[in-house]
Amino acid sequence: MSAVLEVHDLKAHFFTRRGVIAAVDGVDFSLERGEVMGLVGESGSGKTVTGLSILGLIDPPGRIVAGSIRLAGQELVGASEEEWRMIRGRKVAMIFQDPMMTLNPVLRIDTQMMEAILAHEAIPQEAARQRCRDALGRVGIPSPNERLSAYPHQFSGGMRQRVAIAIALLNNPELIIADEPTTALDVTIQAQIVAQVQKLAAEMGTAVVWVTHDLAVVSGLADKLAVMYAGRIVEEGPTADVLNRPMHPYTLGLLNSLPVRNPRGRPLNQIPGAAPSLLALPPGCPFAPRCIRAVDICRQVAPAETDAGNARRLRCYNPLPAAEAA
Amino acid sequence: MNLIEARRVSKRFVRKPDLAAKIAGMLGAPVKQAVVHALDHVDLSVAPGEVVGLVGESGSGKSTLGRIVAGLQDASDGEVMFEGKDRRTLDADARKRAYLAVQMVFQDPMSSLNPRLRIADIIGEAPLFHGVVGRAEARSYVSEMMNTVGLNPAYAERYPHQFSGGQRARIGIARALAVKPRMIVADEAIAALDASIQAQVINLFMKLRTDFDLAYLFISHDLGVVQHIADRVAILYLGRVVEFAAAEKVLATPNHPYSQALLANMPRVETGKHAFAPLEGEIPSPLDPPRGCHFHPRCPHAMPRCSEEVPPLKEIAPGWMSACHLNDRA
Repeated sequence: MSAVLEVHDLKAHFFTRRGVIAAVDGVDFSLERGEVMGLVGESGSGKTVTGLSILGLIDPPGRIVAGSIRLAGQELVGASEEEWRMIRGRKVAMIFQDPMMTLNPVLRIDTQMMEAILAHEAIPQEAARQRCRDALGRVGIPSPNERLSAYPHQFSGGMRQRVAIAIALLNNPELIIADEPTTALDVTIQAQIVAQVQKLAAEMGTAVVWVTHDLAVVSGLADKLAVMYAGRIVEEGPTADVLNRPMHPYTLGLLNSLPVRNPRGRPLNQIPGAAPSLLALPPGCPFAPRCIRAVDICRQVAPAETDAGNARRLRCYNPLPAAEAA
Repeated sequence: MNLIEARRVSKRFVRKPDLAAKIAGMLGAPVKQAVVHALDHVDLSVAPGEVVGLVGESGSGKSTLGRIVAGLQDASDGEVMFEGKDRRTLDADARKRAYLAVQMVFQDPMSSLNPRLRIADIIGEAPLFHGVVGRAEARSYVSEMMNTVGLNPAYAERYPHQFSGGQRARIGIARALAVKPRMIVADEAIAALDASIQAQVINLFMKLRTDFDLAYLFISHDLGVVQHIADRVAILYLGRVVEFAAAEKVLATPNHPYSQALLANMPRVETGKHAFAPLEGEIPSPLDPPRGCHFHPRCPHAMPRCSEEVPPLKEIAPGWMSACHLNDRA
């Protein structure tokens, strides 16, 4: 099967007065139809910028300086604004953390949803309306017909996020970028949204990039995981493999710092230090100053991406042997 | 004796009628006051040196309860006892000590730290004002506090914006510690931090607990964190405590259907990819909560009785409280 999305050596840099920030600095990954990838990282790791790059939403002072993004065979880097208008919302859609970023507070839901359809297709009003109704029903909104004529403020937070998902699905896109879509929601509502996205991705064959800081949320949802640190994917592989046998010391550190992985009441295994400023990255591997396994070369030359077998890729000179990591 | 005990604490927020409603009222239209029952007869106790986790979703009243315990808000009904005495009945001196003994750490350090004050003043203002230290020792006291929470005292002259999120959390903790409290109310104090930093701050909380014999009311929506550090856990739903017991009991074999649902819905790294079986329905509005048990519209075990009668919080095993009619059937 051919890939829906192929990202190759993507670099998105921000040119600020204080220097060049390499927010995304050489990211590679690909996704197949219906595949869900969890893109995990801490603040400043470049996970959101990666997502925005795929939608062509990087604004000055930032721009994509290198690399390629191919969506269903079409190159997106360097696409014109006209081309983007045909791509966004139709081939790739985005769900944000705050649904109010997607929804216009002064327009009724039906106005907003119909606009999203009619921008891409010339179909009769009533047919478009029917599609909106179906989309709301599919994401589990009760009495979709009545809810269509409501305003965003009349929905609860969880329901708003469902509306945002319904809008993203309207044109049956190949790919959805979901940026922390459940972070602001309560646990029971989060579980509902995750279940919905899981079901829809399987039914409609939509590929999903789920951007999050929370390993636990994607662990039950994603087919594969990519862990980002300081603008690069440091480890990628099938979800269960990465979680059960992490090879990069950063992934292991993240997992070991989770309270559930520690005996109750004992100090947590913390990663020492803090993430480096992207303006003053250390030479070599950016994680080396915090890494327990760092060797001399780590502090001199940044590690290239290597194939670690079993569909896993890694950026590390001194990875954990699979046996020890369990 | 309990360090802090909340007895039948209720908190209501009443929305004052606006101009239109007042005019309508004067013309004889029936005016309904909007009342939010944030807390409804809540009992909760914290022993000296104990960590009590307070878990609930939005609108459950967990923050309101924390603020009442910390003395930042007054209860509409019920009382908060400090070492067995109602704080409001104490004489001025003892009352001041009782309120100083409970300090609060907030979620968002950026909105709880004055951006125009230097760290030295943020940490040093309260102990100086309350006479914990004299003016002469204030400087060295601030340095000592900064060392305690793992901040470099050389940064005492900096402003909050010059620190990272994790460091700001530490500043908030140092400020709370500076008046030598017996208990800290931590309201989602680590929720905004990155995973690797979160672990560092949790470790700090646990170290301070042993070093200063502190008690905590640890408010969080993250069951994993609560499971790790709490001795006892109280689970709140829409202003009522539905279950309160030792952490290993509540989180291993929860009794109340809501506790069970909450645990089942908690994302875990362990499970791997699986189908989700989420709890249906939404959290009802606290403006118009359901009759009887607040949870009954979402509860898989709801019986006719549940929509009529409020289940009392009852002891179902020694030290294990739960508020569910199902427990009466056995």
